[in-house]
Amino acid sequence: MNRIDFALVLNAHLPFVRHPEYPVFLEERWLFEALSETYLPLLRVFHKLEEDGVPFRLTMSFSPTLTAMLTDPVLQDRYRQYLDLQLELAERELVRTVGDPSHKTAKLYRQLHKHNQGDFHEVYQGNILRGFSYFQKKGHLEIITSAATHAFLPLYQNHPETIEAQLQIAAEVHVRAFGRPSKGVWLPECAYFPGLEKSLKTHKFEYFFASAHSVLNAKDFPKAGVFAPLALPNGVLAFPRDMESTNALWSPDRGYPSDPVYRDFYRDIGFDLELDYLRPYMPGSDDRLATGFKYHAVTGPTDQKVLYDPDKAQARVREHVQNFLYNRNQHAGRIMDAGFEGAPLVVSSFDAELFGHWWFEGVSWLDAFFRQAAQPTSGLDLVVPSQVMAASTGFQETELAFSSWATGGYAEAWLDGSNDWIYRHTFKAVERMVELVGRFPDVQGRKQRALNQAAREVLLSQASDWPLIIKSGTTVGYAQRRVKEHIANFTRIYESLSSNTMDTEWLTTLEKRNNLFPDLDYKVFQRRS
Amino acid sequence: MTVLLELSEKENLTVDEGCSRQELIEDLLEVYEDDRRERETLQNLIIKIEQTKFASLSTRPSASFTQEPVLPAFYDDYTVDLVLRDPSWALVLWEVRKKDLDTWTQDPSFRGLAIRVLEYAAPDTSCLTFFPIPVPQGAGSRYLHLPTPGRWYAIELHAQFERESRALARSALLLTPPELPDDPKDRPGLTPEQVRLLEVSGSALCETARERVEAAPSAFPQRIGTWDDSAFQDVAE
Repeated sequence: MNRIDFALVLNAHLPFVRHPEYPVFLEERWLFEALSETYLPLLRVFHKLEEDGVPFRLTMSFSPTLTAMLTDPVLQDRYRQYLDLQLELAERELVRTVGDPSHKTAKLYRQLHKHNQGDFHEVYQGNILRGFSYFQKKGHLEIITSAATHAFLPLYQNHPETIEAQLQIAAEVHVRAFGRPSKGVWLPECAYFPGLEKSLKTHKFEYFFASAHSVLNAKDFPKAGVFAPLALPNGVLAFPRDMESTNALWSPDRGYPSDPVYRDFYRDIGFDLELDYLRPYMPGSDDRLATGFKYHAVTGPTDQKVLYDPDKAQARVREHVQNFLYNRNQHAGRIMDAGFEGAPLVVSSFDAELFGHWWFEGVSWLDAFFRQAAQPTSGLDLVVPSQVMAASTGFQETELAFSSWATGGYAEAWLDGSNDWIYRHTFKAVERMVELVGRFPDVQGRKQRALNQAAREVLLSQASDWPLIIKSGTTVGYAQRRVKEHIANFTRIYESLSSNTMDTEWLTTLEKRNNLFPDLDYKVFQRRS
Repeated sequence: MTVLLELSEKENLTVDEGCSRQELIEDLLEVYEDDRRERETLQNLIIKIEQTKFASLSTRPSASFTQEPVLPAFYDDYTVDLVLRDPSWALVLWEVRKKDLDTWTQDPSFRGLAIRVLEYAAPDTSCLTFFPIPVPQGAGSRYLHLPTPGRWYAIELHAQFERESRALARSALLLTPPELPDDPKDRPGLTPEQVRLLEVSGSALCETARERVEAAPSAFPQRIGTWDDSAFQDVAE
């Protein structure tokens, strides 16, 4: 049997959404849903695998904004409240569905939320990063970081201060959160531009993940295809994505998540049941929204969805893992037939939130995958990038071009007619921030606080999530407001510093609201060009 | 003019006899703009998956989050920025100081603002070529087709007068990717072995090639796009 080195990579990221100024803020649910459906279930799977002695291994990136939110006491308290409400709704759903075929699914939701509540309170005391750190120490996980606020870096290549700030803060936040430096970095949207590797090396990142097309179109023909990392001229390694294994899960038509028996993502009791019944579980909303309680299966190309059967779905998960491994073996054979020597490295990278949140059975799939992959007959050896780097030398050296992992391969989604207005303001904010560092090279006290907050506001305005949301048409108003708010906050600080009229009360309120990166030093925006 | 005629032929543009250089540039820009709009209609798999993170709240913002700051349209400065969108399209952002612009508009010799696109083989070398594009007064951005792959570009913002052109601002240099095929297998000069390696590397599925298989809109809400997965092998019966 041909063996392959298989590197599974999960990128966990959400934009910084935290609004203590409101008693309830709907967009904070993005984090709560990911906690309930992805992060906590994933940790439970890791614990079960460990208990059963399964030698699982994968790479996970945690963006600094997600890290900040997961360790924030305000959001931790709000998640506890969210969990309480979800559990209460789960109890009511158990009663409502008695005698109904969907009762089995209702039980599943009650179990999910009960487990989440227990784990969050008792196991992690509110900070789930402890769980991931534990598995890092045990050697199952390689945890890496991403850019500070997940900026699409190629769009800022002519503003090098942004690149340096995004990477330096990422490196610092990671050490504080996980107790060791991040060896690699998940470039937001796998977006690379020539020269970025210099900044990566400055901040001691040894590798990143690259889009398949950038590697296949590398300056020199990639002798190993996408099955080995490429070395950039300064030695930083680019690990290419393997499209075939990735698409087995991400293919929207025939990818596993679209199987008819799996749970449908969109059909939700939030849109089906009486509003009076749901209202207590939608605090802060006058309108309907998804609750996470979904009782229908994907079914097929129809609006008439059949009821979801958890047993059928679990059986299909096992089949799909078998199918995935079979196809990896077939692929390995074809790679060898193409003249490849040695064990090819297959890097399969995904958004972590695909598993559990969008693809409800995705976490179970990972559990079954790790168990099957551990069998000697699987043909797979699970690896993480640092292992690959330690085991091999002499990676082919070449150069890559501007690229991202989005369809089209470049910046089409983050720069178009709907969202390009953002960049005039973010560029100006960077320019002014650099100017402020020049004017105030070493200040203390209130001015220092103001400058640090100005830097936070600049970084928050640069998140790639805002243009993406605007482009894709979901919660556009919120994304637009976020960009405008951060730019307006920055501008107010800039003008206040220029006129020496800082409103301390306003600054204090802002510091409490946008409180990420507490150790940030505004001088990270010192002039670089 | 020869280059413009070559580009016109490449874009299947009918060129009228006696067509001026400026008219040709404008026609080409229009074609490129149409092409850009067409590309934007494509379905984007990554976006569709990422947007499910934000799907629970439909499309309206929080009711409690109502005060929207108003940002200035311009910052009353001389700036020009060049931002690369894909190998051949870039966004140019510019602005001028209002007071100066008001003064110039009173001057009968003022012909308007223009951006000058400068092409270089490498940084710190002489400009290979440049072409000006007049920009409407009051505008501050436009998408621009950068004609040659693998070249460095910079933009200068100019105030044009009857007898002179005043440079107001200049962008940093930006490198466009070399000419790359959508499917890496189309790279010239490959051996059959190299083609086989690219095939098993998923060249037909990679990000630049996906455009053509995701172009059709999704018919069903539970689907996140359409896909031709004929390249996938199913478990044998």
